[in-house]
Amino acid sequence: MSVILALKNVCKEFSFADENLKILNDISCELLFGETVAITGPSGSGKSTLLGVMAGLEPPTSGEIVFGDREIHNSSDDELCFWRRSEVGFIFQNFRLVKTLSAIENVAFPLEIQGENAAEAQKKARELLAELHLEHRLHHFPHQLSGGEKQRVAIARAYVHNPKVIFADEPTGNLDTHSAEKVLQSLLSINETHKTTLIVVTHDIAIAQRMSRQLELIAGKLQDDSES
Amino acid sequence: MRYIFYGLIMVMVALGCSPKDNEQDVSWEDVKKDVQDKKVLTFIGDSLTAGYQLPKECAFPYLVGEKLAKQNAEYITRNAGKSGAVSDDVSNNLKWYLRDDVNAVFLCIGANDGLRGKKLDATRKNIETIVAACRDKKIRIALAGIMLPVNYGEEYRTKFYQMYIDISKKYSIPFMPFLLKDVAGIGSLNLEDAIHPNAEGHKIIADNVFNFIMKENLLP
Amino acid sequence: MTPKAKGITQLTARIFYFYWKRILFFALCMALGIAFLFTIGNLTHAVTEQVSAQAREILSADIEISSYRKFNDAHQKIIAQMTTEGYTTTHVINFASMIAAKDQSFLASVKAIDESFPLYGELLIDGKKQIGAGECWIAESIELQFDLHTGDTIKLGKAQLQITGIIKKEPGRVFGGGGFAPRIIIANSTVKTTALVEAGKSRVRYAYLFCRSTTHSDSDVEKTIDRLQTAIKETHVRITSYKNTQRNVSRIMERQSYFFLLISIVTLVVGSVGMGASTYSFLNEQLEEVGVFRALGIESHKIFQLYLGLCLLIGILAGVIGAILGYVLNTAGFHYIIHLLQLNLQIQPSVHWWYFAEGIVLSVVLTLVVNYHKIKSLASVSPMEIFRGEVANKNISFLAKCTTFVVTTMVFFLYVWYKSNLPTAGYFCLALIAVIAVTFVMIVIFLKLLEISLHYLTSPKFFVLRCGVRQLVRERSRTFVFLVSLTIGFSLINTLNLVYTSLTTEVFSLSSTKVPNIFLADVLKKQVPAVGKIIEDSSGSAIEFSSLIRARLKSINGEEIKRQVQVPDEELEQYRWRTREYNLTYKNTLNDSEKVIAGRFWQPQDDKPHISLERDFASRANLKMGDVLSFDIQGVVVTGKVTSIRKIDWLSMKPNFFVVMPPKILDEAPQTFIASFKLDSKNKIAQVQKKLSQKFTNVVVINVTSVLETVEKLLGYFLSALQVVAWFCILVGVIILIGTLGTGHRERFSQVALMKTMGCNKRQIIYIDAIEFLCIGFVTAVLSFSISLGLTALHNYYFELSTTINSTQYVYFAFIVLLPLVIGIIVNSKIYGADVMKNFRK
Repeated sequence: MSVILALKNVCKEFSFADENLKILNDISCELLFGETVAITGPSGSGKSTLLGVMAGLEPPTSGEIVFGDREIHNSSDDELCFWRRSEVGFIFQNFRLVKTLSAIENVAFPLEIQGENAAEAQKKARELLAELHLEHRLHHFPHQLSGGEKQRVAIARAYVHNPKVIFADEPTGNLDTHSAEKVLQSLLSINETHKTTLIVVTHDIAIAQRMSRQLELIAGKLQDDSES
Repeated sequence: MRYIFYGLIMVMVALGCSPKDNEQDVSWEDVKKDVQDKKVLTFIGDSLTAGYQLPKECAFPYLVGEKLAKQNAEYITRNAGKSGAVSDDVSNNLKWYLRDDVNAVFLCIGANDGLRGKKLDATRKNIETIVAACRDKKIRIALAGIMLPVNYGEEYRTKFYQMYIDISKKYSIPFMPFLLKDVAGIGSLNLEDAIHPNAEGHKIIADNVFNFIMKENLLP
Repeated sequence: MTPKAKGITQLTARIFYFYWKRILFFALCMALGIAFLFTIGNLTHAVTEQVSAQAREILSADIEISSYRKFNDAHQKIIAQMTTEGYTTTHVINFASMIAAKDQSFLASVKAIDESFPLYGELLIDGKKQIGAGECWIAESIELQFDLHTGDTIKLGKAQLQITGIIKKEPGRVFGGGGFAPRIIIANSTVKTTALVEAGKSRVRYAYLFCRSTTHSDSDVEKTIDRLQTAIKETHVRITSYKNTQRNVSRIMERQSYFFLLISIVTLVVGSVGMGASTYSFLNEQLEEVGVFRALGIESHKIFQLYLGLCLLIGILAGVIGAILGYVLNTAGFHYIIHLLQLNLQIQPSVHWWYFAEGIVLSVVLTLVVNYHKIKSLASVSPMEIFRGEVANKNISFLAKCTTFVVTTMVFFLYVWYKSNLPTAGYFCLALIAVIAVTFVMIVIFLKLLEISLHYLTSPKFFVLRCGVRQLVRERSRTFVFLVSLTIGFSLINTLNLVYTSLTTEVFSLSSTKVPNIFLADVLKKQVPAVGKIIEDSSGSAIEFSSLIRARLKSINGEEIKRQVQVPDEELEQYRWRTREYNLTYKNTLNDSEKVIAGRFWQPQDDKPHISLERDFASRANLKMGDVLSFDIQGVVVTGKVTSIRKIDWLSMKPNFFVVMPPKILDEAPQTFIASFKLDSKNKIAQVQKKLSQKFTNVVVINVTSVLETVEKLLGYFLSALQVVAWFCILVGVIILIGTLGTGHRERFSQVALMKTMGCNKRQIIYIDAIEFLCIGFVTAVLSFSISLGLTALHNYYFELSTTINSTQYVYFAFIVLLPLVIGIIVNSKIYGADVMKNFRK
């Protein structure tokens, strides 16, 4: 299988007051196409930062990030936007749906950004939402949905434009066990059909174990648990 | 507030909500129909004659008319006084003042000429024009004199008064030496402006004028 | 304080402390309104003072006691008593007299003064500054017209007087007074030697002028006037207060000060809307905390107290900041602004501490009233509801919204009533309700239209437009706050602007060539062409003469007007207007200052005896269309029918008449002609006066240049004040706009981050916002323009001005359209630039 995302000697530093904090310390790894990867680690270990750096939301202090043949660390803001819009999907812990858009509009939004006709986009969104058993919630606004429903809408939104990679940051972190399970199942099944690379940041070992590969972030260093 | 009120009225008028339009139509024939069958004594003058700030019934020409009526004279009076009139006004509009129904004129003009410090030659000429016109039309005329307040200066005052005496002599017409006799300078008989007689003042003037007219037999 | 109550107070203080930045902003919205109210109050006060000072200068006194008769002992005693009360006094005598000099004689208006003259204003003399016995000062026009100069002698009565100065400027010499004759000033001590003043034989106006001491207030002066009026019964003694010398101007000022008051209150309304909207969203965010408090066992009424206390603090803070801001504006800021705008406003703003208390009370009451229902609903939610997240956007009921609106309006109503009067308050609140209702309805319609348009904006090329519109439509309450506060604010500013334009166009045309400063009267018919030629030679343009015919109304619809001994009060005005002598004219065409508002004006060939009446005259004398009126014109009765009613713009200062008839009826009547024209230079005026007095001794020339100058000056103060107010308004509008944008700032931050994550680039996001702000700007512009045009029309109707719209209006329209865009993008600029992860962390 080909490498979809490669990190080479990635470092990320933050300065707080006079102190320099090395959150990511010389991280190198390769993620393969279609893999499902869990990044685990204790809270504060820098999981979300790693995810942000991988997704090009934040530049690394040093090192290289290569996605396919695209050098993420060398791309301009506009190039990154274009990349994210076409090849990346996101799922967040606190859902982050656009408050002013209904469920279907939220899902259709990435397609609209890509320049698809709004009506067409909604058609696709509708199908995807039906797949996630949310056909009765199409025109509800985020504040009218339960947590689990919100996250499933978010999942639909992440997959709607057939991205090559999905970044999920604690996708079940804000949910009760029952909803979390339902959301996780939806995520895995939809990933199965779409054959997308899924990168999940989580502190939950149970979730991590359901991924094909587990990486652990300890003190800014990455350990590949699946190999050990 | 008031303007809003007026405004409302006007809007009503404009919208045609006004009280019913007067059906009566007026034609040119009605315009100047005030031609009397009785003989007319016209008082020509300025605000003193017009009865400045008073209803016309309080001015001396009207009061003289009442007295004449009591005596069953065949004359009625007409007030042709005009506030602010100067001698020019009269001498230039004689056609209006001396209409065909006028039989006698009591002329008291020139006060405003004097108060405004006009050149007296012009005033004299104007008054003479009026007197001459009356003569031409066979209208009997009497002239009343005016004395200016002392503050106008002795020289001007004297010349001014002399003008009346000269004219009356030149044309040998009845002359009433001072229209405001017994009235001028008396606070209780004048308005607050200390120059125009009030209603009481006009009564005294009316008495004096009536007596003068009778004495001079202005109305045969 | 019980321990529990203490706990709540501490909690309130803690919340206050924690959120102090945001709370400061809520208070600031309100504080701006309060500061504005405060400033306008002082400004109006200062301008009114200035006008009073001007009025005092016109009278050259606070009080004048005058009579054409000598004052008796009782009067003298009263006058003496005035001086013991601290009034300064001076004695002035006025009379007309013939002057002889250099073989010429002319009429002059003589004024005899004391050393203490003038009490107010400036007597500017070119020459010897003190006047003694045997000396005189002459008007500049005498110098020019009769070739008399300093050093020459003139004869006044029996006295030979040496000219020791030329009068350049004289207070109290505006118009009328001693007639039209030029002024000569002598010393009181000279009067006797002239021998012109003799009791009962001279016509002399005696006057005592009084000036208040520094300890006298306006009301002291008014009390003195009241006392004088009861003490002096004789009607020939006139007691004049500086207030009635400029009665019209004062009346306009009084009304305009109400106008200013209303404007400042509207600013406060806008401030309240801003404050209410931002506290509303703040209180919504507090739901979770309330849930925690409730779960911890704090009772519902304690929560109520907690947030009520917070609002109380906001109110007090707003009042205090407003008062301080107002104070700063009124002291340092005021002068700076006047200087900056290069305004002709020489005023010393005074600070009234009373406003502070008033401002604080007002802001506390408003804050509590506006937020009461929200706090109540906040306190009433159950903790479970909050934790389930079911109340995240819980709105207060429609009824509660209505009550809040009604009660807030009531507060404003009471306040306006307290500051002005009942009708003003009533009209104001009605107008306010109407404006808000119209704004509301129009916004609802507008949002509906936009929502519909979304269905048609599906094409990819409309992506940005679609997002912008969606943002606007979906964030309904935010859009409402934006639009309502901006619309009200800009309607107000634009109303000011329009009123200002109308006023300047109408009033300041006084200084343009249109408005005449020289009037001719008593021109005879035969002299018209020759006099016209003289004027044309000087002024360069032909002038129009109007005939003037004196008449009395003899009968109405055949019913003779009779003298009434007793006239009921309500008919007195009508009686006076019907029985007085007045001027008629004849003509076939209207001039440009008159407009027929009922009926039709006749055509020259029309063969009927028409009458056209002026609107106010008709209503005062209770005459109407269709009435058949007979006039007694020097003994001849002329009859006609009222077929039209005209409205006259008296400010044009054109010769205008209450009654107009066609020439055919009146051209033979005794008549003189009047005319008016504009001459700029003093020399030209003197030349014309000289020529006319030589050739046409009967023609009266009245020069009103100084009247016009005074009126212009007074209006100048007023208009400058209006300008300052308009600038303040724009400032407040911009600040409230920034503030309102600020309320949604945090949310916008995370939203932008989200959109960026999903692949929207910076440009797209800016465009989306730009579309939203442009829409807001456009709707605000359309709404505020319609509303301000309506308000201006109302204002101008009230003050009888015509509405003028000039090109600056287009600029202003564009300004309003673009302002939200520019400010919005600037305020949000940080959001667009910041990187996504940072945004998320916030």
